[in-house]
Amino acid sequence: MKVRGTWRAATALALAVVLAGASPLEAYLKLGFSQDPDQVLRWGPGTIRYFVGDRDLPGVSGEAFRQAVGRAFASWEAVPTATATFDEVGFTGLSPLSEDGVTTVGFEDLFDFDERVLAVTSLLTRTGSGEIIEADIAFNAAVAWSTDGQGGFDVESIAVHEIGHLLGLGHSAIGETELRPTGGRRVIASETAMFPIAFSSGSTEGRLLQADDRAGVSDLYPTPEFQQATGSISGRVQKGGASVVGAHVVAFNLQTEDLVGSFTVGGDGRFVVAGLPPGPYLLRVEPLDDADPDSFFDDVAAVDVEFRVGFASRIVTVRAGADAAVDLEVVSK
Amino acid sequence: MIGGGRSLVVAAVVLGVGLAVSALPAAAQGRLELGVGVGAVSGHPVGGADATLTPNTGTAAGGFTLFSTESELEAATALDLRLGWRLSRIFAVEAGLGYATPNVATRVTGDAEAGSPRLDTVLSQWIVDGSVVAHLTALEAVGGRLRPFLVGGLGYLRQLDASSALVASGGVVHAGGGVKYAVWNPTDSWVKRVGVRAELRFLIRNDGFDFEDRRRTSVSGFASVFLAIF
Repeated sequence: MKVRGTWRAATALALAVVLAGASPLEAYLKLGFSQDPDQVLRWGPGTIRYFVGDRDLPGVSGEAFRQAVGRAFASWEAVPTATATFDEVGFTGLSPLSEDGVTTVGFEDLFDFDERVLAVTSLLTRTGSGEIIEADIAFNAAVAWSTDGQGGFDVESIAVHEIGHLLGLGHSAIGETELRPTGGRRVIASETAMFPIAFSSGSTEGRLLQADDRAGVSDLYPTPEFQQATGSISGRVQKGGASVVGAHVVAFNLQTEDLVGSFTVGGDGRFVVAGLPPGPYLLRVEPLDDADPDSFFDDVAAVDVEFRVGFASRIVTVRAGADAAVDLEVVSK
Repeated sequence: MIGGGRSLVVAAVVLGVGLAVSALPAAAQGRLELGVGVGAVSGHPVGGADATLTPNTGTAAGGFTLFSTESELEAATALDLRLGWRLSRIFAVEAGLGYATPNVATRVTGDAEAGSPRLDTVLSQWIVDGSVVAHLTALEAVGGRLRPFLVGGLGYLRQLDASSALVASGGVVHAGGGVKYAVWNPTDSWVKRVGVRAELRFLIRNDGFDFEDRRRTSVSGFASVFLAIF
């Protein structure tokens, strides 16, 4: 699986999901960090209006596609701690990959992408502010799709993932993969809709948002209650006194058993896991060595994968409205 | 919260023993009793957790466990301060303040990439309690110097982390007994008795630092010195 992070016209970012492709990884990541760590890509206030492509495919009518996409938007809108809302305008014959100021979700021939790519989200953002002004989701028309879980990749599951990108979320790395005999990787398990590799054809498990997804969208579009009721864990990951870039840090709630992740970004090895309900957490740090780090970072040369999985030396208590500082020390493989 | 029914049972037992003996003036024993002691509190489990991922089609059924944890609040030494007021020769009420720094040992298991690391989280633990004490005067020995007693009551538990921020709070019901031995028993001083005290308590905890929010039991033992005045 491969997630793309290529800029279009200097202001657009494209992301993709693949079949059972090359790379995996975890935790939610706000888009825009790789351009400017202080700039986050998100929509401005108000309801996000979208059109649905009217193209039919064998086994998936335009109406069935519209309903599946609508359910996926509804899943994100139902997160009680986030303010993102959506409004379906109707069908359109416009291409989902055209820069026309219209947010469109539909089938498209993705000739320019790896054949394993299931869908792509492209964002048009306002330079400087990071505000998203258009987002298109293109489902690969060459793939076998399904809306009822009976054979083919599940439209709703993939739509949930791509809508996460539409909202400004990057890939999350809470998942495990295995190498396939035929090449690439296959997902064994994951606990986020934003994992870069999809579940196998026929699976509908990806329809469900997980704690990592809810924390991510709530961090981008928080309700006032969310900001008051949650806390964060921040710190640095170091190896022999040097900062570790690209480490995947996961906070595990010992009471609810929820997993929420983040990465060390920037050159100082700092991480922030935000949107955490108060409680006791265990922090686990691991290298991005299960797949291609470019699923997550543009500058993969800086990503350090030469360290062992480790844990914080103590349980970290998160309190509402507060940040808990914890530094993690890892050792070389 | 603490079970009210359980505390009533403790009070009833204490009251029953007290009624079986005769009462003498409390002032002769010293109405106000101050005590300070050291002891130990036994440990107890605080729960386990599984980091479970949703499995892909055709993989592990019922979930893929990334790792599991088991945690225990370990036994710890404790300090105990006590202030009592004798209501009669038999009955007294006490207020206590206990302090300990127990370690929460968390063992991570089943992580294929990380071995079995152990995490240690030291808590500062405070218990403020109130008790009813019944002195078993019928069982006094050594010329009245050795005096058994029963004790029962309720407490409030606060547990803080390394930054002294509140981690958890809860309630404690305790019941137990012990003996007091008067080392010095002056008759013409405002100091009425000076002695040592040994005590064993059975504790039932609700809430507090626990990943499963279950009721936990433990035992504490203390040795202390006391001073009874007025």
